[in-house]
Amino acid sequence: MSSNSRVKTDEKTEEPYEPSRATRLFIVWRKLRTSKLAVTGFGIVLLVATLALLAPVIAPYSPESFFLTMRPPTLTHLFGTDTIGRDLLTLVLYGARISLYVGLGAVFIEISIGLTIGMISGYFGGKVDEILMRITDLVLTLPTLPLLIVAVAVFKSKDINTIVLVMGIFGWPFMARVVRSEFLALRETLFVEAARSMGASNWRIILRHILPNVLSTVIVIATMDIPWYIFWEATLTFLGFGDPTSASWGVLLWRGYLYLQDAWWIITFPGLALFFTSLGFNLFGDGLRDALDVTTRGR
Amino acid sequence: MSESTLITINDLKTYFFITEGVVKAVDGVNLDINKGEALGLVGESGCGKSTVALSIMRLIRPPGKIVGGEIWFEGEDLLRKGESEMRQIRGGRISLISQNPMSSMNPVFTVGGQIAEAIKLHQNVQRREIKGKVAEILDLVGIPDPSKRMEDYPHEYSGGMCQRAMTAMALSCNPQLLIADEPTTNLDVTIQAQILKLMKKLRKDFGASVLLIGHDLGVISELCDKIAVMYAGRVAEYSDLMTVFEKPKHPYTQALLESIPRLDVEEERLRIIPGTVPRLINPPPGCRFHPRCEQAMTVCSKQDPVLTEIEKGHKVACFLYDSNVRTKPQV
Amino acid sequence: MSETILEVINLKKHFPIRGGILLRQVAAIHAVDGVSFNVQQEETLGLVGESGCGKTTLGRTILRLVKADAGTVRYNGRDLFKLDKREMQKIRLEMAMIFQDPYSSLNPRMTMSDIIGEPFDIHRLAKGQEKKNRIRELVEKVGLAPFHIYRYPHEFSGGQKQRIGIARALAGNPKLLVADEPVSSLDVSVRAQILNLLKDLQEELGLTYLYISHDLSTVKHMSDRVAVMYVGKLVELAPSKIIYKDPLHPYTEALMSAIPVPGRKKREKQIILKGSVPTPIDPPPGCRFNPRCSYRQPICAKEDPEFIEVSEEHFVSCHLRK
Repeated sequence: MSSNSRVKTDEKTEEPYEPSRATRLFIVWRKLRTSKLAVTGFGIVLLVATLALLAPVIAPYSPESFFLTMRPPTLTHLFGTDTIGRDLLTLVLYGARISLYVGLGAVFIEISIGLTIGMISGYFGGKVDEILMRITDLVLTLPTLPLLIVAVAVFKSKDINTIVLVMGIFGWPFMARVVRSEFLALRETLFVEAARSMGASNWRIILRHILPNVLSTVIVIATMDIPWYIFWEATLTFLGFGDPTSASWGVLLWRGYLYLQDAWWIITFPGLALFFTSLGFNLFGDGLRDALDVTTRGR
Repeated sequence: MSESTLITINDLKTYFFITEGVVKAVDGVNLDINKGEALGLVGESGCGKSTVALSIMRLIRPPGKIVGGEIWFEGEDLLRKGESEMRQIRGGRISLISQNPMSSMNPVFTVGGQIAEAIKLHQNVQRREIKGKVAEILDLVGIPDPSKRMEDYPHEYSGGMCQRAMTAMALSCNPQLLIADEPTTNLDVTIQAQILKLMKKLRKDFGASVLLIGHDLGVISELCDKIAVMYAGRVAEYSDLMTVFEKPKHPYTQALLESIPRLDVEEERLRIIPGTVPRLINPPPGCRFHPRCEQAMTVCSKQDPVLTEIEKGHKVACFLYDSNVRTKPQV
Repeated sequence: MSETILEVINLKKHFPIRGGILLRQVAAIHAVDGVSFNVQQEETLGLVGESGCGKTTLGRTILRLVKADAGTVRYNGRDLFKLDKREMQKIRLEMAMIFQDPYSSLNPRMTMSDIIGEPFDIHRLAKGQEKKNRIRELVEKVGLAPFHIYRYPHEFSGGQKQRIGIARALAGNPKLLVADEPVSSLDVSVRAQILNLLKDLQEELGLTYLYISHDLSTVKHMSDRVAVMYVGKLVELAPSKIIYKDPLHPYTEALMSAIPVPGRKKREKQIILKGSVPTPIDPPPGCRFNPRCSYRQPICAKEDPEFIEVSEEHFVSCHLRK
């Protein structure tokens, strides 16, 4: 029985129950397993994450050791050295830790706030929606840079967690708006009305009916935002939120850009790393979205 | 092909080539429309009737392609014509009215402007006369206060008025053939009655032939002289209106007529046609209706029945009427 | 002598139209504007009307999916609008709805089993094996194959999707079903299946139907009595046979004569109405049908006629039929 065949007849048949029902999770897993997109993407992400985790073990040198400055790639320094003489390969490996943490953390906050607000705003409408949307607009239209500078002065601790927090706080409006518009649209569908006619509570409708249909959009936005946050982290670091001598990819990219003419490798290798990581997340996100799509069963 | 035939469709085949296979939307359709005649093309969704209309107009876009057949219109095969020649014909000699009048019109142009455009494209009318012509034709289709209403935008028109405006646009260049694809499906019953009355009147005034496409047998009855019943890409039965209703020969036609609730007939239960309309991707050989047909025979699953004339003016595509086939019922 | 299962008394639902900077109410859509009728047990009451007449809103207001602005609905004698949440939840099981578009009335991400099983979850009617059994029963009752229950809506045809919707409506053992255009979106050859199914279920389970549709032929086939709506009000209510043969209200008359009958070419008399169906926004005083009515009298523009019983079981709202 081809799994994509449309069930055609209305006649009752004698066929037995479908045995051990493939649980939805299993089908999702099977699709993920067989999807080239998902596997490649996940492979890349896994690779990067592993390298990041094992950085202290596999890095050839320590990020605190200094060598000759601005040396191009050689056998002893595969990625060359940076402006103050640190081995770039080591920096890229250690930087992966910071950047991954930043990317995932900020997206997590973005989803937490943005999804919740978008959900409530889009579904309940009315005054609640207006208030929440005004707040969203406010955050969106706030002049980010000046505010960040103010925030730098205000926030006592200037470490990586603050950066993640700040980015999430500025980043959620977009997610909120998109989620809101999806909820607005889906709220009017007949199946939601059918659920209401059965006596389903609002939250049941939100979580059980509408949210699963919105998830794929959320995934796509999230996977696109991760590299964006990684890059943005550099800006914040330079503004004073973090340690400019730290070696996140964002910082390396910035510095590399400044020295592009003289030391092309400083921007290139971190850039490639960021590129591959984004690619990985995006591919995996696409694969995940396809795996969650119930209209295909995969093989 | 006689003198009075306006358009003859021979063995038209239009297929859609998609990743899952080939959708044989129109698979060997034969039709004739005489001058001044109205032919109703009836069938359910997916039977290919709209595709026939688009094929005549040569508006089939990839992944669709007309892969075979001929469409003879006034001595020429439309399928051999070039795009610029077809553009002359479209709107000028053959017009199309479609199902959703509101969305068939460009929302950012006035109704009058769009009709004027049609006139400009196909007729040699002086600039200053165009406005008058537009008002004239809007009046003809029953739009009140035409000189004012032609400055309105489509969204300011009601559904019925939009359809009238579309009809105006289609008739503005005095076409020989008017193709109306489900023109009243989305209209209220009383508005539908208005539009049908209008179409009857215009048919008389303009003398155009009409190809009316739809699934509502009642609507078709109002307007048409002849009727062709389509099923899954092929013509199942073809005859004049009363013959098809009173003496339907094809099992599908028979079943269809008995399965629709009718005002003049009272039944407790309607006749069911078991199963569903088949998908036209990579269809199996044989008659398309045979899986659902109570009178199916062995030959029905093996060969395609041909549309043959069983009595004057009455054609059926069914092996039940094929004298070469031994009529033994299928087990 | 059957009992009245549903009483609708002077029901009103208006939708405000807001304008201006402060979004004050500038006008209102009188979707349902004082509708009263009864539904007897185990009958099918057809509700017909053209677009904008309010029949869909009426159905939803009766089920309390939309909050009424005035009037009452009594179900088995109980005032629905006075019930609190818990009591209303119980009633919801008894009054279920079948929706028009099978393609969008089923959540595309839920399996047939989930969809039909949801009322059981919401109302905690059954769990585990018992729930599975009940679902299986319902699936068979509507003519579907049980081994498909873990499939998703997109894998079913239109007719099958509608059957799933019906099974879902039956999950709570309802007494009253509101069917909102249940076959309009289906292929012609499939409609008969669903209509027959509805009739069979009615006989088997003793159901009462409020059958809402714009398709007059189908309504006549399904209904014992028919109510005609026009711009938010009922204009006529009579037994099926009578209303199609001898309608009293001018609008009903025009409506009936406008129905194209297959195979009928000659018409005795056809009434073609002028103009289009008016919008229900702030309707003018007097009879709603007055502007298009060929029988109109001066009084028709001034006073709104009452909906009264002019002969046995035959209600009309028209000044000329009093």
